[in-house]
Formats: sequence, C-alpha cells, structure tokens
Amino acid sequence: MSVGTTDSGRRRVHSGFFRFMWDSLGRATDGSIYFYAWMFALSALALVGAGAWASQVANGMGVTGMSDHVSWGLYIANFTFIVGLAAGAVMMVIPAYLYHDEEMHDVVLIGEMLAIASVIMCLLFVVADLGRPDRFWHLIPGPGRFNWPISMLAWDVIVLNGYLILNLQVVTYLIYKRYRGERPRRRWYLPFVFISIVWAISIHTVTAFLYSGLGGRPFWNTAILAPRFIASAFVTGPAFIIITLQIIERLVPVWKAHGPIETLTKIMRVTILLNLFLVVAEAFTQFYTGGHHDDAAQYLYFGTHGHSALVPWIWTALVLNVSAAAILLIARKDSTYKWLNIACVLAFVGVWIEKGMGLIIPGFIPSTMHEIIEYIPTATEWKITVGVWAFGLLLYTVMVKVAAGVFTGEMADRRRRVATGEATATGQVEAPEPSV
Amino acid sequence: MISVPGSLACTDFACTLNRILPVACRHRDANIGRAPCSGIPLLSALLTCALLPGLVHGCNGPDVRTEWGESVDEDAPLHEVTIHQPDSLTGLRASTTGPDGNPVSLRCATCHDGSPGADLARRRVEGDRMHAGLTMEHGELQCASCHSGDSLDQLHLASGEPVELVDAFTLCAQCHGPQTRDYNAGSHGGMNGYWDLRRGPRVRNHCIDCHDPHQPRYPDLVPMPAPRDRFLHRGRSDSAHGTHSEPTPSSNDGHSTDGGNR
Amino acid sequence: MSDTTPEEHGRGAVTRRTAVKAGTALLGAGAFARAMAPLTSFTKDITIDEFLQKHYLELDDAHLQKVLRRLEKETKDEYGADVQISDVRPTPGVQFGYALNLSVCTGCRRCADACHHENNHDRRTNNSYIRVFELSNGSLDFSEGSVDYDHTVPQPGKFYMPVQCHQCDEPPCVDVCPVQATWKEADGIVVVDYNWCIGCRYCEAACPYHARRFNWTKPEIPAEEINTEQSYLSNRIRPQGVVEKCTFCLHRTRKGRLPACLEACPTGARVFGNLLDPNSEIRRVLETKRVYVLKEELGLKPRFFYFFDE
Repeated sequence: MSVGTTDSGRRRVHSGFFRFMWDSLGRATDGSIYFYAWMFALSALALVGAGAWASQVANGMGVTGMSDHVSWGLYIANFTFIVGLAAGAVMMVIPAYLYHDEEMHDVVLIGEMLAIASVIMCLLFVVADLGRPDRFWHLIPGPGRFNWPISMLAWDVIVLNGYLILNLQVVTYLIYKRYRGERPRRRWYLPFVFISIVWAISIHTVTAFLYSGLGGRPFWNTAILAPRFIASAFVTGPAFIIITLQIIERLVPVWKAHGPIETLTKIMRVTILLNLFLVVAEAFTQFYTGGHHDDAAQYLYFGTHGHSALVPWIWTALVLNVSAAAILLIARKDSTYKWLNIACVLAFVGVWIEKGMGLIIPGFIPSTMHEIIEYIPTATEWKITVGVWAFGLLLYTVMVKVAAGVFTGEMADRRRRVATGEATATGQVEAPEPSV
Repeated sequence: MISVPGSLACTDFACTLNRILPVACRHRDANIGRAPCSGIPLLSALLTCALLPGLVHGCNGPDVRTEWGESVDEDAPLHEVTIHQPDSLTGLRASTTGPDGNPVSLRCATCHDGSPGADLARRRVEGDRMHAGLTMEHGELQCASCHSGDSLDQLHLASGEPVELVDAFTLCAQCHGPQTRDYNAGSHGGMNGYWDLRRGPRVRNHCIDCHDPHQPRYPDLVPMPAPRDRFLHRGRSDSAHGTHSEPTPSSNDGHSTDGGNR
Repeated sequence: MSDTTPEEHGRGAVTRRTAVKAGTALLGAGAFARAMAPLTSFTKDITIDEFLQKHYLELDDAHLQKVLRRLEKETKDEYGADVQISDVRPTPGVQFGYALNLSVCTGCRRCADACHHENNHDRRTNNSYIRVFELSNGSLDFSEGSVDYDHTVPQPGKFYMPVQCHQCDEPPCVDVCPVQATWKEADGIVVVDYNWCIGCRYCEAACPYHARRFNWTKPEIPAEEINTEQSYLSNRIRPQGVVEKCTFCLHRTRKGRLPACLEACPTGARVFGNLLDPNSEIRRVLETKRVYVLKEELGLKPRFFYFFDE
C-alpha cells in the first residue's frame, strides 16, 4: 500500500511510514537460501499463473472447461473456499479480544495477515473468472454502475474490500507502531478489530447469499448455506493458522505458539463437528425428500444418468473431514502436534473439496433445464489457480517476515523515538515480547 | 399481470441509505481532521469516503437514453392481412417434370371432364399411375366428398354449395371448427410480416401450405441440427442427455484460438 | 514480484547483495512481462474509445451514433461485412408477450435455426437462444427429456417444448448483475449492453430457463452469412467474453415486425404480440386457452407462455 497524504504538520509520520515501507521491502527480500528458494518457487508458480491468465484473456474463456451449463468452475470454487479462509482467520481475534486471552494478542496479527492475503487471493480469483477483466472499472462505484444494493455480488465487492481495508489498517498500524517503538493507541486499532470480527462473518454470509439467493438452483437455494460456510470457515482458518504458527515458531522464535494452538484446537474440535452435522443435515433433507430437488446431490454423491465425475471428490472430502474430526477427538494427548497437524491438513483439504468442487460445481449439474454437462478443469484453470495460491502465499510470507522482524526488534526505525505523551495508552496494548 | 418494469430504479431501501451515507461520511471526515499520528487511518477513511458517494452515484446513474421511442398513430389505417395462395390450390402435381425441371401441375379437369370412367366414386387412388404422389388419407372422405362431380376444379361444401379451389379454406372449416377458430384468432397456422398491422402487412399461411388436403396429417420432418453447448457433440441422439467430451489439457492449454473443445 | 527493487541496506553502500537483488528484480520483471505478453494481442484490439465507452443508458444521441459507427467499422474490419447497426427504442403503448402452442409444436427446430441466422450467432457451436426439449407425453420431467435429438419429428408419444428467454417481469438475471449491464426495458424486453458486461456470468447462474449464453470465444461467422440489419441491444455480433440473450428480436419487433423464430415456425405454434392490445392474438390466447407458465412457482412473472389446444 502506498503512503497516504497527511496534513503538513505530520511530515514526520510521512517520512516514518516511508522508511517503514522501505525497510519492509529490504526485510522481505533478505533471508536464508531456503527463504530465497521458497520465494523463488512461489514467484515462478505465480508467473506461470499470470502467463496462463494472460493467454486466457487473449483467447477467451474457451480455454477453460466451463460451459454455458457449468458457468462457474475452479476459480469461483477457490474463491468461495478462500473467502472462508479469510473469515476463519479472525478465529484468532475472537478469543484474544473478546475473551481477553492475552497470549493470543500478538499472534492475532498472524490471523489478520492471513485475512489480508486471502482477500487479495479472492479478488484475484474473481478477476480470473471475468470474461472482460479490461472492464473491471465498471465495478468501481462512480465511474462504473454499481448495482448496489440489489446484486449480492456488489455486496461481496464491498464487504471484501472493506474487510481488506479493516485488516490492513489494524495490521499496518500495529506493526508500524512497534517499528517506531511507540505504543499503539487503542482507538486506532481496537474499534477496527471489533468491526472486523463482525465483518468476517459478513463476508462469508454475503458469499453464501450469492448462491443461496438463486431460486432456480435448488442445490444452493437453502438457508443452511450461510451457516455451513461459516462453520467450515472456522475449520479451515484455525487449521491453516495452527500449522503456520508452528512453522513460524520454528523459523523465528518470537511468538509462543503453544497457547494459541491449544485454543485454536479447542475451537476446531467444535467447528469441524458442526460442519459435518450441517453437511449431514443438508444431505438428509435432499435425499429423504427426494424428487428432483435431490438431483444435484444424487449426481454429487452417487452419480446420475451415467455421469459421476464428482463422486470421487466428495467421498474423498467426507473421508478426510470425518478422519480429521476423529483424530481431533481421539488424539488429545498430542504434545508434538503430529496428529493435530495431520488432522489440520486433512480438514483443510477436505473442506477445500467440499466447498469448492463439492458445492459450486453440483449447483450447475444438472442444469436448470435438467441437462447434464459435466465439468473438468483444464490445465489453464489449474495453472491460474496454483498461480493465485502461490501469489497469496508469497504475500503472506512477506507479511509474516516483516512482522516477525519488527517483533524481534531486528527491524526498527533507525530514528526511533521514545513514545511520548501517550497517556491514554493502557496495558491493553502489546507489550514488547522478548524472544523465546 | 404486467407490472411496469423498474429494475433500474432505486428501491426505497437504497434511497434511504443514500440519504444517510453522505452524512456518515461527513462525520468520519470530521474525525480525520483530528487524526493524531498515523497516516493509515486517514488512508482507509479516505478510501471509505471515496467509496460511499460512489455508491450513491452508482445507484442513480445519469441515464439520458430515452425510455420510449416514437409512438405509432393509434388510428393509423391497418395494413392488409392476406392469405397465401399455394400452387397446389390449382391442380395436382404430376410425377413428370416439365422443361423447367419442375413437376408439372395438372388441372384435375384435364382428365376428370365428366366422361365415364373418370367418376369420383373410388375410395383409393394409391398405385394409380395418374395419381402418383397422391395418397388419400383423410378420414372416411372420398373424392366426391369435396370435389364436385362435374368438374374437379370445383369444390363443394357438405350442403352442396359450390366453392372455388382458392377458397378451399371454407371447405376445411366446415369440419375443423376449433382449428378454424384458432386460425382466425391467430394461434394456428404460421404467418409472416408484421405483428403490428398499423406498421405493415401480414401474410397468413393457407391450410394447405402445411396440410395436404388428401393426407392432412402434418408430415414428419427432419429437425434442424441442435444448438451445441461447447461440449455437445454434433447430432448426438442416442442418449437422453448431452454428453461431455472431456477437454484434454493439451487441446485446452491456453493456446488454442479455435476453442479447441469441439 | 517478490524480489523487486534494490535496497539500501543500512550500510549506505551498494553491496553485492543489493546488486544481486536488483538483478533478480530485473529478471523477475522480465519474466512477468513475458508471461503477460499474450495480453498485447488482446489490448491492441481494444481502442481507447471502446475501453472508456459509457453505459448504453448514459449515452446521448450524438455519442451513441459515434459508437454505432465505430461498431460498424469494427465489424467491417474484423468480419468483412458492411452492416447497419441501429438503435431502436421501445414503442409507447406496447408490452410484448409471447405464447407457444405445445399441441402443435413438432420440434423441427426451425425456430432455433432462424434465431441462429437472424441473431448472428457463432457458426461453430450452431448457437441459438432457443433450445427445443423433447418430452414424453404425460410428463413435464425435463430430466427424462432430450435436447439434442436428431430423429424425424414428431416421434410418437413425444411432445416438444422450445425454451428461450422468458423476459421475466422479475428477472433474477437483472437483479444479480453487479454492474447493471443487463436491465429490463420499458416494453418488457431484458437486454444486455454487450459493451458494458464484465463477463462474470452470475446472470447465467441465476437464470432458471438457461436463457443466457456466454461468448467463450470470439464468434465466427462468414461475411456472406452475416445478417446486416443489426441493432445495438440485440443482434449485432457480440464481443468475446460477454453474455448475450434472446431479445424477442427487438430490432424487428420494435418496428412492428414479427420475431424471426415465429416467422420460421411452420406449424404456427408461436403467437406474439402486444399484451396491452385487447384485440391482439396474444391476448386472445391468454384469455381463451389453458395457459401454462414454466416454473411459475419461482414467481418471476415471465412474458412467455405455453398453451395447449383442447
């Protein structure tokens, strides 16, 4: 992000923030050989994705496996999943601020940075899905024509960008303040944290409404969709963060991961069961009612009229999710986190399938006129998808690296001044945490 | 049944929001004036304020294109509705072709001139060399049911009242009441031209454009090829459903300019 | 992307590491430019006028005329055909309605074919706004129906149901469009501004009648087959990457003519007209026939009706 203009009396803020960005850039491009290898690999994958996208724009969406019958595919599937990841990232925030779990405070940043990276990935996936990305400006209120408040997609654009701004505000402010050696002032981040908690629910609710509001597609047209989205988001967010925290702890021993991991595991134990319960509730309603309302579910779980492309996907997802739930419930004495990590990976992949290929695609199969045209993503779609994920991970790595640098004190304002006259600051702010 | 379309108009909800949002925006603006030490809140506040008036604007786009075009004079004289007169009204298409390559059309009276042996009491004409192409499959009707005994170019109603060949319509109408009613109401038989007779004429099809009077059942047709989805094979018919030819990565790998999926 | 610009590493001097970073950044930028290269062929086809073109409803007459001339020129350049693209506005006092007689439709697809030619559809996919379903007598179960039959019609025991845009009065496709690229016009026709659509295909997902099509690639039509009588909102050749739909042939019907699919129908199954005219054919069908609305339970208030003879 660039430096905003400030009034003339605040030039020191201006230059300070500029130095902060400059140092961040240095920090983000410095590291061990492994770091370079990691960043190089991610950049390479992102470039492959960019190339595939460029050729998709030039040659038309005909290079994808989508059709007029299955008009959304891998991009929107990933979009939906990652909105969940972004929303789930605030699972870190809730215990920290709502329940005053002090240990969670610093690692909240890990979650909020995940939210930032995720929202950016979401926006990239939406752009990848557009047939005319050159006309993106039609979406910008003002020069464009924004169909708000009628279109749920317009709402989604607002809530996603709003969520991005909220989290950018909190993360940048807290890290910047730490970089300057100043105490963060509560009113400049706490309200945003609380808003972002509510907002996180909204991004996934709006995304669910995007689908559940379509009366012509019975598979999506269910009130349980938004709760399902939220429940699964609160599985994937914590799962991702649990693993990330362990990696970060190993690489930069600045935050204590144990406490937060315990908390997040407790959360996951509940949400993963809740998610499975909602899946079962949905499946029961579909199958017990029968009729043509269950055509899509029939296709998804068992195949229909000789078409069964999604059957292996969904059963894999179910096996993964059930195994993850079982491990979380059984392996409670797991001091090395071996079983926990397995459960997290299983749950993450399981939900990725269930909410992506398992939820978006069957909404189109059979089509509204009961035709069955199957969907298989093409190489172009996989390349773009991998590219966006790589770019997201790259952003996340950079953010975590900068944050870690600041919190270890390795990266600090050279003209750091002692915080002065900040009488309003209270103990609620993060005290500098010594390295472990 | 017809509601006036107003999809682009703002809902009450939106307009209410539009009134409220600028106020909220100004309020935040006032806060920014006192921004103590960070440029970041300022940035997000600016973005928010830039967004909100945009929303308001986006909802009330300055439409200049007219909703309606020119009107048509209510009392304009109506154009004519004519009924197409097919060739077959004037005779029978023979199996021989003329010098122009088209089948020769023979007036029935050429043979059926009232002489003995050419009477109309026969029920069947199939296999008859002279009537190749003429099949009689019209209920229990016989030739004389419609054709006048004296001259086959002359038709007659059940009452015996004579009808000219070009007016065959009336003859059909005496049995096919519902079809005639629907035809007259414009919901049976095709047409061409203008739906709005104030602006142009219309040509209606004749009964015998579609129905051969001797064999009036509508003929079987070979359908035009179906529109194909990107993945539908051409002319596939054996399955109840469309099929999906799986795109192979090689043919879809971002470089095929021809779509590559058919 | 990652390794971008060099950095002054606190020591004030340009270190070797900085030089390596700069080199990598250059390499990365080069690779990025290389990856994005296909975009140049795309962007060179888009003029600045086209890029900045305003929404149809915001174009005044002078502007619109410029746009129409530009589109005609583009068609000439890209397809080699001299076409006339006009702008036809709705006629006051007219609300369009369409009805289809299921008792006489034989499923010959002449309507779909007429649509294909009238509306300058892509030749390779044989695209059409009309899909004809073959259903079994006694059932309206589309899952047992067929849309791609190619045997002679009508088959015994079957009936045929052409489905096209129903021009709903409560169109979900219009509601969901994030940029108002599609809207309902005053005479009831739902149109798309092909130069405003961003190609998100949300409307395709929202339509319960499968009435919308996306231009997955640039449409292909030989110059000599192009219908040169075109209008901005209906049958002009659509650009790649946008959604299109049936407009009841508004370039014909707003001038009083019948839609192409109706003229092509050999059985007279199709009835079209002004719903506001009590003497119109469409009104007589609605008032005297047993009329059926497809998926009426969705409450979208279509202007397309099916009916049966007794």
